[in-house]
Amino acid sequence: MKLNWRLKERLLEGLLNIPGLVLIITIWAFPLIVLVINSFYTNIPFGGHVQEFTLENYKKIFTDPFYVIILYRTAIIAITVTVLSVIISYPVAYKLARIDEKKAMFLLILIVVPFLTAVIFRAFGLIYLMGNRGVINSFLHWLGFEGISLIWNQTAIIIGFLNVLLPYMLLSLYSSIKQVNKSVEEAAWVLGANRVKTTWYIVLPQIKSGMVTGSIFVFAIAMGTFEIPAILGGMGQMVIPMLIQQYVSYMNFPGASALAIVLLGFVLLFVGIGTRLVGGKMEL
Amino acid sequence: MAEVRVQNLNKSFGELKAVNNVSFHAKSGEFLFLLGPSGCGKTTSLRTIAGLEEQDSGKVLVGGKDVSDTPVHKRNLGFVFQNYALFPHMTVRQNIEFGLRMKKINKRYYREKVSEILSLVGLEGYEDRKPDQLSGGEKQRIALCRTLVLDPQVLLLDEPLSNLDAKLRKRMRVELENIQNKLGLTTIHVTHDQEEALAMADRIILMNNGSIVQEGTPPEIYEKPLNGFVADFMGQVNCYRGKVVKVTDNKVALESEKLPRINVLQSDGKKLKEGKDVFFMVKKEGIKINSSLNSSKEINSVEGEVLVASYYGSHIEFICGFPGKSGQIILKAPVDISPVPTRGEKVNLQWDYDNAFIIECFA
Repeated sequence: MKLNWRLKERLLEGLLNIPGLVLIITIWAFPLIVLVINSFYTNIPFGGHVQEFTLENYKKIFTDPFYVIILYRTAIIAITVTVLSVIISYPVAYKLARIDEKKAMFLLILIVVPFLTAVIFRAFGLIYLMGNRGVINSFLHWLGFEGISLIWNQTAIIIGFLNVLLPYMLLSLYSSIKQVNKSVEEAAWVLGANRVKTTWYIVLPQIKSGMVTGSIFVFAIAMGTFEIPAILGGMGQMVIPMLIQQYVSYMNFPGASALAIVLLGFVLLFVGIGTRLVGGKMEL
Repeated sequence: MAEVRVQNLNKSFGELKAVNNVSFHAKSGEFLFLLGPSGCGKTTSLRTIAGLEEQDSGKVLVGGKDVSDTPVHKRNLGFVFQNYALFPHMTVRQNIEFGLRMKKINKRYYREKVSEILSLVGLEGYEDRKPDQLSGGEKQRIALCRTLVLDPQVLLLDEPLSNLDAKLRKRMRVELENIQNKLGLTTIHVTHDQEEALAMADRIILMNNGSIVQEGTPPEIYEKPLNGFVADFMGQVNCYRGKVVKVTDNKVALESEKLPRINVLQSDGKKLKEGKDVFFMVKKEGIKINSSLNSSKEINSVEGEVLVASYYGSHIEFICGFPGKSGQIILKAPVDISPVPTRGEKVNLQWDYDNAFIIECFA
């Protein structure tokens, strides 16, 4: 039988989907399922685990104050980083979107270049800048001021995250502001709105989805990154990714799995709430 | 209603001098057109009046008050953008109410004002639609509503009709004229469409390369163009550069690369000298086409050959050429001429002297 060309086309489409599907199943869906199953196994302290169903791993996370504090700290840091990154990126993104495209491209490349450096190097670099005898404090001492505490605390983690994550927010705000027609803003001015009101009533509502997209990146990475808090926060500022690393090194895979699932749940929850709050749609 | 005065306006963008020492005046209640090809500075001039561009030098006065340094949002001028610039995330009602909100007008009046202004443009019941549910013409009218609801002193229109299709454009012309008439608003309308300007304007200011070339009523500009640019831009298609070769009494003989030698009656008062470079123009509505060659009528006439004859229903358009010359003449003839000259036929073209002009070239 000769194949109809429509049928052929559909077959081809199906065939082209297979590599992607295989990849998604093997590197994403399968590990996630294993993770979920693992999180319900029973841990034997310092002795691996047995395949016995238990809710103990989750119960501990939500009832033991040690874990609750860590969970809370992780969320607060991620939220602060997200909000600050929007506030800091917006004016820059706006300016970039409104200048000559060639200039903007050049500046954007300058912003993206640090991306090419590993996070870990940048974190160590920040120690030299913000450490107790780092560049900033040495300068303050030289001026005769008392030094400020910029390392081994939450401020250090937040600054470290901003250093790494601002470009994500900036790029996603840039591309959505670029789509706001300049004459729409001008129309608002002519109708009697000053700059602030135009931004608030006209520009921001139109770039909601860009804001949400940027926030998802920033928030998820800020919640799930190990290096920044480990290097800049120190042991006194434990966050969930650091805890997971500890568990793994103690061979407590069920506990680590449960933490990972809780982390994922939190990211989804906050992203959902955030998206609802601004009334935008998730666009990835 | 307020008058608008623009005095010695200058504006450059980098190297480019967009507006070069431009002064003009829109009388109270007047429908003034700024007309010109793209890049002539008309839009920049309009945007400077609104405050959307800052002038390098010069003044803008609205109702006698100098607003040159007043920020945009305090000028109380209406501005309609070429792309309408409706707020895409707001409904029609919210779009129209936006200005009222910014001017802190009592909320009590919103509903009444919105429905009043919508009925002015015949779009009652559109309050809850979003801009992307409107057609081009409807968007245009909402953009107008949004501006008019604030009772602006002056209405500034930046190519408001150029994004509409030809039929709708003609309808919106009439509507816009009616609204302007009804409200008696001082209106400055920017366009590159000379037909639009001729049809709607009380007065036209024609610009080119950042300067004003000519100003006047539509008939003044169409019928008495000051130079070749004006004639060409206003749709005078038959415009030729040539040289005066002989002057006898009131008769002038012209020679040109494009046309055979012609003899033209000189209009009164103008004294042309031999050897002068001139533009010669003849209106396409003012030429009579004759199948019979009549060499005795050698004044205000030329002999040619029909290249194309196109029937348009209301008239027939002929394009005639001249053997050995590169020029063409376009003319409109009534449909009832007989016999109708056909392609390739030798014809005699003739015009009355007030349908033709000779202008000295200064450039």
